[in-house]
Amino acid sequence: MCRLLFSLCILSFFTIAQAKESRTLDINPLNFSNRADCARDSQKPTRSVFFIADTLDVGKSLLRAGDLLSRQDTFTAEGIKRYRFTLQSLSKLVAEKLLKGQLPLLNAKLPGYVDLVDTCKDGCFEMDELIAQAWSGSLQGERLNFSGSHMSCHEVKDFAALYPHLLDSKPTKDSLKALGQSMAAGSEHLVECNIDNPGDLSVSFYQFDLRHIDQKLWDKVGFDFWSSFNIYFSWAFRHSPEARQMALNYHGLFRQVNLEELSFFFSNGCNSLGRPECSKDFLNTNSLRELSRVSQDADLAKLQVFMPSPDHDHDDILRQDDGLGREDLALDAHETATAWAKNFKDNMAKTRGFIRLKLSQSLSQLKFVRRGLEDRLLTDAIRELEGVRSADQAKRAEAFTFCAELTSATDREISFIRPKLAAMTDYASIWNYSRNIHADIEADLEWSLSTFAPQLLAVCEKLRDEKVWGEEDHPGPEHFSAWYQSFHYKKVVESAPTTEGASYLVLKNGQTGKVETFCKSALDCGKKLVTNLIDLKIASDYASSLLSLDGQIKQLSATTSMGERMACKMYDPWFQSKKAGFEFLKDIVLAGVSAATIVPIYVDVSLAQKKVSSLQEIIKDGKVYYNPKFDRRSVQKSLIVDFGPLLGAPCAIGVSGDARVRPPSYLAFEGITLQSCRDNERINVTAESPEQVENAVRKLSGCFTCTISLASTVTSAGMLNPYMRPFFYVIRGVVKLVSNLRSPEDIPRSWTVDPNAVSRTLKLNGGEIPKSCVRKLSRGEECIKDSCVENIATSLGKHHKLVADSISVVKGGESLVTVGEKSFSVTTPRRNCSSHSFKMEDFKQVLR
Amino acid sequence: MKTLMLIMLLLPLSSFAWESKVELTEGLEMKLKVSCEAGEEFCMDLCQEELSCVVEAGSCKNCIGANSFISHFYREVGRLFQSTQRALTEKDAAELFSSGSKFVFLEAQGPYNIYTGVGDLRTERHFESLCQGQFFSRPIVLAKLDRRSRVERASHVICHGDFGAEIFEMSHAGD
Repeated sequence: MCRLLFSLCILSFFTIAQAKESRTLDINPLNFSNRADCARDSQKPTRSVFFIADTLDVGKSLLRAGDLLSRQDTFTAEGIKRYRFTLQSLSKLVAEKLLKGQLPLLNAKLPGYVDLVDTCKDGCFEMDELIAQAWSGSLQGERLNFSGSHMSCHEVKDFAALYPHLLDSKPTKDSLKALGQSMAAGSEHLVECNIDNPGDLSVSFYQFDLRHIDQKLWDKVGFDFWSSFNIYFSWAFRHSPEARQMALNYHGLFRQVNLEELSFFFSNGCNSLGRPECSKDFLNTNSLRELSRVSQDADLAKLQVFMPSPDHDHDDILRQDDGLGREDLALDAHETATAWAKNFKDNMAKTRGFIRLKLSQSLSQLKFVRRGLEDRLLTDAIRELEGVRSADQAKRAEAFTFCAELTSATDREISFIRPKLAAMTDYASIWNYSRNIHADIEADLEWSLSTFAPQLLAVCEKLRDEKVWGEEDHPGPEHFSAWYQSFHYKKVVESAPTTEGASYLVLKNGQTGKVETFCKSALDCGKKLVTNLIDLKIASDYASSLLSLDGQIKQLSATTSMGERMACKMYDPWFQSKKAGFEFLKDIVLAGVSAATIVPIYVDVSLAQKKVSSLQEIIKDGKVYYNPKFDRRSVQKSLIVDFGPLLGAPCAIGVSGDARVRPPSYLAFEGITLQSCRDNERINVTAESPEQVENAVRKLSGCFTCTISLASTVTSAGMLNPYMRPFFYVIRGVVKLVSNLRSPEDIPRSWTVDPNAVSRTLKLNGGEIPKSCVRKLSRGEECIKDSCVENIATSLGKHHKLVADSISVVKGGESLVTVGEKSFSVTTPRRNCSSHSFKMEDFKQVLR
Repeated sequence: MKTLMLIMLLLPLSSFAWESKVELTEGLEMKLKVSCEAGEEFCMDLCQEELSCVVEAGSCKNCIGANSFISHFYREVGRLFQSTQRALTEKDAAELFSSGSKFVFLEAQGPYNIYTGVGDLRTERHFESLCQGQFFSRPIVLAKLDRRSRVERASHVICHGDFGAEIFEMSHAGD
């Protein structure tokens, strides 16, 4: 409904705008693909990306700089325009230098590059030096050679109906018509990049298209291209002489801008920007799609990243396997594309701010508790725990909640905090990021994880073994910390006040000068420390994915989740094709075998899609990867024996080994069916230890069917002449093959639409897309009845970037072409008009 | 009597040792302009000039927009970031700038402050709290840069008073 209203708005808008001159746009054809094809494409590099640049902070800084220079008038607005121009021009320069081989790719073939990547993960002086050398042309390496290619740049003002491939799997007559109409007013929605375009001062939204690229070669080098582009772009923005020229006198300020955290790339379509991998970083970064769907005013605290339990990411991907994979980016939720981009970047900034705050707060408090108390905390906490045997109810409850939280936080199954320091300190770049605020982070963590937690955990276990707590000591959820409540009770209630009494650790508020109680007992301090460790773990998980710790602009690999699902082996785009072939072949084989059996035995064997039951975490080079564990079943089997012909009894018995597969009730079986299925298979949908998957209890699952079939005694397949049975299998095989291959989403299918061709077709067909044209346009072709008119229209687009409103062909004379209020005459040959090569100068403007 | 009052008014102005001011060039490069009283050795020590010197600020990588340190600084200046009131001698101050270390200059209304509103009096007050006693006004915080031009810490603050300027060491309450 929402989409319909959106389209109607666009339609009415275009009716008004129709008199204007239409121009062609230098953009790539749109690739429509269904789920399977989208999954396949996600493994290939994209040729079209969106780029969002947050210009608000640059504007604020320019405003202050203008104050210092006493230049208030247009200084800030001009500065933002210049900043955008620098971004646009530099992107184009870097991309084209790479495409034309003027810069080497930053990959293993560049001498010294791989060693540096390993040693300086968050960037280093030596890496800057290496890139400077590559930029100056003094390094050899792999170079591309896409001659005739270029990168086009457009500012996206309005999505209009220009991106139907992001919403639908297949082009339709209506979507093509809306696309053509949006193209007709293209200059209002998609504006060629230029410096004079004022737009919104707080955000810029661009589409970059790599044009005239050889697809086969691109598939091999595209991922290296984008990673190299990202690194060169960051470096060149600050250090290249070209950027200095582009930025003019603003360069001194621009080169200090945190470009990487104020910019964002994402792919336009199913193809990816980076090679998809089943890693925490990749999944977390791509979960940012969620930010496009959340309104700025919405409660961001409800986002996944704000959840106390950090293990939601893989839950989501495991549960997505029935979806279409076409994430709703809510493109129509905002009035303009700029508003959409603004919402996205604001949500991104808030999320990043939240992570920074969590990191900073948890590190500060961890340090405060540790430095303030050190070993005293440990001895006091042990004493308080040991004293629980003779303590009052409140103290016993406090000790109980402390032990429960500590145990939960260090539990392997929950895997919040591994009791191994290595796993935490592997996030080296995060510590570097925070080190300028908090020194000695490792020492604080070492103490917390290697001294504090294990020693107190041992005391808790001893008390639990002694059964010092009875049922009456179990406090309500309000006595637990919020993170514990969220995980174990699934909802959070306000925490009860902690034990009354003397302050155990106090904090002096520097601004008010007042002394405040930080915690009231050693166990209260201990609970705060555990909470900080959990916050730290959550924040650091997301920090490595969302903050630009590696000095590169973050990128959302694709607009759909198929890349993640493919990488984590959640989806196989070839499965349906394999299944169709397998089942057809099986029926052909059975057709041959069936002729030889006396009792009709109907065997049905079908391929089952492998299901990922859990994701095992593996830490490699400081990154968390997931190793999918599969449900082992790959073949579903069922068997029916029809005893009719043998016993003269109207009975058929069917058995299948899988509760999801009912024994087939083929056409001739009509009667009363009794069926019982049992499913004891448990699918673990959490990332837990591999042992748990291995030890999962597996019991018999399956279905038993008994059909009392009156028909079987008369007309069933059982009564068929053995010579006829093969036909049953052949017919079933063909029917199933057709049905399997018809699957709209799971047999890879793709369509290519050239927006300029749609625009021309719409104009020259009186504002309509004939139904007969849908197929042709979906192959990226024009659909204009008269081939001579088509040739003239295409040539006009190619040479003058104009879309003809009408063409009156005079063969052997002067044809008249009208475009908005302009008219052109073009000398048209009497013969072979459709293959004639019209040149730029052949189109002569007619003055009215 | 009038002459005496005039002398009293002019006395503070004429008795400054040195003072400084942050300026931006047309190319938006930041610099610290130091002016010295005739005969004052600070400028001679700093740049071998008698009356004025220019200390160029470093280019601070990622300091504009979403910088953890800078945002932490502007929110906590005067609270966690405080002056130790330990003044540097003029010789040490000159050496600070000529040692090869790079600094950026942070002011309440400077281009790095994108976190509080223009003209926000609270920020002004928090900044002013860094400078006390004789040297009570126009604080300029020196934030040291590392080898890769990333801001490392707020190391010193220049405070001004009627008798010129002094440089004080700074501390961060968390350390």
